[in-house]
Amino acid sequence: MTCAEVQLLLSEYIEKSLDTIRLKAVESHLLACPCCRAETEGLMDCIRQISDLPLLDPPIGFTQRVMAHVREIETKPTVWWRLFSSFRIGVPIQATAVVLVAVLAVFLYQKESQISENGASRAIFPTPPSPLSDNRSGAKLEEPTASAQRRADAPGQANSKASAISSPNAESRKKASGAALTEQAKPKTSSSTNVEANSAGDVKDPLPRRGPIQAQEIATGMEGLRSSGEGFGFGPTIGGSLRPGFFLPERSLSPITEPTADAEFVVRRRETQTRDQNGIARSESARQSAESDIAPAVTKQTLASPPSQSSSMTVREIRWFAVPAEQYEQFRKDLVSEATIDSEKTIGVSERDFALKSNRELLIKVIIVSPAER
Amino acid sequence: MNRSNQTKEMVADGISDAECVRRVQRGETDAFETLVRRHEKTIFNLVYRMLGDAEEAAEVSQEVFLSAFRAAGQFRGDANFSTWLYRIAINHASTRRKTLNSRQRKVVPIESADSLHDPQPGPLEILEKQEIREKVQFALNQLEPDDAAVILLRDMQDVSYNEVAHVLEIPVGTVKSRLHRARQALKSRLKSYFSAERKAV
Repeated sequence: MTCAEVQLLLSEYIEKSLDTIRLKAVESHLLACPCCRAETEGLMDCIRQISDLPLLDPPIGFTQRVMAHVREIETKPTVWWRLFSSFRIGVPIQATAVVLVAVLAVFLYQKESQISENGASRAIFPTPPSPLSDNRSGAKLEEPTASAQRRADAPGQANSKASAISSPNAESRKKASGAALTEQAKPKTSSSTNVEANSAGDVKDPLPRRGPIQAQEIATGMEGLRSSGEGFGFGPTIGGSLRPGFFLPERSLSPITEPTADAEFVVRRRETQTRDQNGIARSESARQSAESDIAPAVTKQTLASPPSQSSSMTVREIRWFAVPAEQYEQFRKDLVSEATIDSEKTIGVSERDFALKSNRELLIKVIIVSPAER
Repeated sequence: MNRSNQTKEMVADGISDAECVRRVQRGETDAFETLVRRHEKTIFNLVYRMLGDAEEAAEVSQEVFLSAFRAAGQFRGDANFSTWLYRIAINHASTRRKTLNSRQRKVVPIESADSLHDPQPGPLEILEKQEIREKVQFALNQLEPDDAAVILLRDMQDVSYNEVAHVLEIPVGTVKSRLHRARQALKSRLKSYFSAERKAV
């Protein structure tokens, strides 16, 4: 055994943990090797010095101090517990926040859709392209199948068609009442380019000015044609707080987008008024000799086309009004004072209450009819 | 030795360390006091010899027990509580040693209570022994923390190779070779003193 080998085993030799064979080998080496003996003594001294180190008593009150801190830790929530507890509280807060945000989002969405609905309605208001208004127009001679769009696209063609479809003696009549026809055709052209199918006939019938009704007229689709103050008394100048209605011609071209009215009135001009009107119309057209001959024929042709209307009535105009819910009654009263209500489809009480609460304006459709001229 | 003292204490209390830990885990904080009383001296001395400063040792020992209490829930009982506690103590002491070494290291005050352990010591003998212990402590402080720890566990605390292996989380073979290396390192540091002492003798 070499010195290096022996020195590696010295620790175990000192601790007497060597097996018999190696113990004897080390012992025999140590007897012969003073160097390894010195090494062994040095190590034994070292171990002895360490094991001889006195054991000190911990400071007085050490246990009590430790336990005081332990109880402090026990009552004070640990970092983990605090993290956990904050997490536990955090979840409901987040959940509540999510629910609140969701509720708010739904509420806002509903509000938004309501607003946009109102906005859309307003945008659509000037869209009264009902077939009725078409048929009472100056182009009554046009064949019923001709679509409004076609007329809008090719007003010139419509005019020529109107002439072509005229009764067989149209040629001669045309000669006689050339001026009248031209007059009829003119508004048609302009209405076609502006808003499709507007009542050209109305334009030709200036009505006596009536007192204003406290309502906001949204649009009649007549803005492009009617001079201010003209019409059925529902002038755009009424009630100081009047707001100008939207007018979007491109949207008005689509008859599909006609809004659903909250209330609908079919009103008739008062007899006297109508007579006056007719009188004026006649006196105006008196200069044109053939005019009176054409008019009844035109009307008769028209009567066949709107089957929904009473045979004795002609739709003269359709007007849309946005009336604040609280002013609905007033509007109706004013309407009654203005005209005779033939039929009405009024808003339900519950609906009105809802409209009142949600501060929504009611959309009212007024169909103005006049007795057919015989 | 120290270990036999611990066993006596454990028997005297009638509750094993493992049972105490289980009680602590169940929320019986008083059971921890038993553990502190049982191990405070061992831990304090281990830390003290690793640091060479009684004041620091008291502080670190307290931290060791508080760490053990906080981590009591993680103690699985597959090792001795003492082994677990030694590991915590060595980690804390090693960390503190690094901090102390980074600062200006204090001159190690030697315990005044040493004399009480020696029966009927003469004044000269007391002085001599104190001098030797100062040298030994100084030499321990010069060692690597792991080397100091292995020497202190084995030669001061009389901890078995197996347990030392568990404490340091190294194989038993490594414990033996490391112990040998550490002892030789300590011996070489104490050489001058021992040779001088022999000459005197």
